Amino acid sequence: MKNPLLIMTLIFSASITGQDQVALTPEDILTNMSQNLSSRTLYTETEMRITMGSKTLTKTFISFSQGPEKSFIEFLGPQRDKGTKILKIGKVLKIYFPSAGRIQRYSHHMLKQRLMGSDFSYEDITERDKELEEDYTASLLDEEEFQGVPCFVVHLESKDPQRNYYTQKIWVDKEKFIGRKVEFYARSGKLLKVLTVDEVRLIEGRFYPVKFTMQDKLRTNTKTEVMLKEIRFDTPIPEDTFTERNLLWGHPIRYHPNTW
Amino acid sequence: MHGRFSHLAWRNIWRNRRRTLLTSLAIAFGVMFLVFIQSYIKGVSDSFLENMVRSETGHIRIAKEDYLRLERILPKEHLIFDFMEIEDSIQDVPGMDTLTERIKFLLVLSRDEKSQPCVAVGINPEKEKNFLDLENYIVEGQYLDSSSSSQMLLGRKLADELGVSIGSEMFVATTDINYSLYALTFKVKGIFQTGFDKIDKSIFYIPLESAQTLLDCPGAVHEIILLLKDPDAAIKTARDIEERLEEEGHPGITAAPWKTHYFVKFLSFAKSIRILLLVIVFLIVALVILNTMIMSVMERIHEIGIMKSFGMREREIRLLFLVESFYIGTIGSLAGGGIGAVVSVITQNTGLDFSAAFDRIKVSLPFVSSVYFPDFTIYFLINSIIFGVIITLIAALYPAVKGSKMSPVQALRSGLK
Repeated sequence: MKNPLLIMTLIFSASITGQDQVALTPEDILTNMSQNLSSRTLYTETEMRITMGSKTLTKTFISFSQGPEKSFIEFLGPQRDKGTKILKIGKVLKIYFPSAGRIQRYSHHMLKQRLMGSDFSYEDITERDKELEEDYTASLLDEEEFQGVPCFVVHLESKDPQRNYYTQKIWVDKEKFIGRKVEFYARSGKLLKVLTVDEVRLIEGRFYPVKFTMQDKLRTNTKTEVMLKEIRFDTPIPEDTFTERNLLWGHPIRYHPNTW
Repeated sequence: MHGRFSHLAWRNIWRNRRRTLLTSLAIAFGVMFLVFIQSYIKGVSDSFLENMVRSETGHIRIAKEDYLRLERILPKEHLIFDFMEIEDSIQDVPGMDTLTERIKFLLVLSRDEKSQPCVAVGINPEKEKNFLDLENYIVEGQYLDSSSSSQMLLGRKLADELGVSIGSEMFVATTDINYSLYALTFKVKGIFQTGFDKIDKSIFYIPLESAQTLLDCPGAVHEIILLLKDPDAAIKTARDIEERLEEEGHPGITAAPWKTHYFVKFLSFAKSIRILLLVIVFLIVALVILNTMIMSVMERIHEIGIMKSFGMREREIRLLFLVESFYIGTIGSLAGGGIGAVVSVITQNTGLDFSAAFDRIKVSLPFVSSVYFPDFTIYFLINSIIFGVIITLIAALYPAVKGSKMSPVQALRSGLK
């Protein structure tokens, strides 16, 4: 190293490229996002605030999911919803109605329906993407700021033509690798829903959205805000959680992570 | 002279029995058809209206404005919460006969693997008897009673579709007015068959309180339905009720007279089609009678020649033929009218069953019955008979006038052709 200036220049230019992250491919962005989002199991305690015109409804529930296929939800409030449980395994949806003491099985059509009047469908709430890079083909559209946060604008196209949201446009936080805004489109190109992330937190070493708002663009004057009160990644979930027996007899306390 | 003519005419028509009988038969057939078709059309359109009034609109329907505006999707949330108060305040409206209240919402009724989109109707079983009298249409089991709130009535076709019988447990799940999921189980108490496709295929009835529990709206209803003593007074009475409700502080509530229902508007269009149809039917019958009569008189032109040779005057010949036609027309019309009336009255009681034809139509049409009951009135008999006689006379006039003007030789020759 005879020329300190050259070294300086090299170091300087290297740090510039590092900052700009020019080398990132869309796939890299997805992989980074997946590292934040995906987990083998997930436990959450959720408060959902549904606004329809002047009416606001608040519902709380706990949910368990394991892999992309299995999911279990139990409503804790309001009183009327307490004890309503939803089990989804693959494309089969089963709902337990405490008022009738019965389980009803629904076909996959029900998955597209609104969950308790919210802007989310049953599918939105119960389904988790396997790994983003496995399910979608990504392309980088642009780089722009969203609400003051520098973002990549990534276009995702589903590899499965049957998927409800065939394409997605995501504003990915360049620093935290978390979607700040997602637009969901039908295959026809029609905008179906818009999700905006209002708060991201660092939990168990990963960035995760804890407050977000969904708006169903096919309806007017509605939005659903979601607040995740408690999140556990990869905590062991009892084997019998995703069973009909649990739908009928399970009790939420039994499954609270603090009691495991 | 008239006496002699009528005697001669009477003898004349029986001279050729076969011709007279065939001519009368054509007239009889035409008149019979007229009586029946009029009864039938009246039966069909009355059945539409009657069914619409009893199952849907009443003579007046009181509901939230938004509910009526969005009626086709049956919005759950637009409820009348103070319906007791409203019923109290309209109790003494002049011309009121009876009232009831209903809750309606859409859901998918499922059993095992089968499911069917339905309208759930919460009713007051006692009051409902004055409206859609389901009790009379029960073909299996019983009508709702006060012993339990978890009873359900459903139509024959819906029951068959879901494979349900009396005592079957039905699971009814819905989202309530606050978008909570809620479900109750019901026992099938009765199966009805009204003949009206929409009701038999896609509506089930449960007690009002159960419907309120399902929707989480105790004490509230969607509609208050009124029957009036005079249906034609509905528009005025509805206005009176609205004024009264406004005075007493029930905002946003509408009293809709049955004639403003979209289906009635459709019916007024249907009415012009009905009139056109009747005109066409009358014309066809007229043509049949005209054709038969002209043929039968033309056949006898040579007789005119003979009469003329015997010195009968033109006027007398015309009169003779007209009197003969009058006899034939009267005999045919009376016979046809009689048979038409009897057929109408019989089918009025038994009904004409088109269910086989309707089963092929998969959509259930509103207020359309698969069994029709013609509605015979004496007016149809009288107008058909008069029409038959007049057309017969008109038909005879042309050949009679033409023939009477011919010279005896011409007439004899043309008759020989």
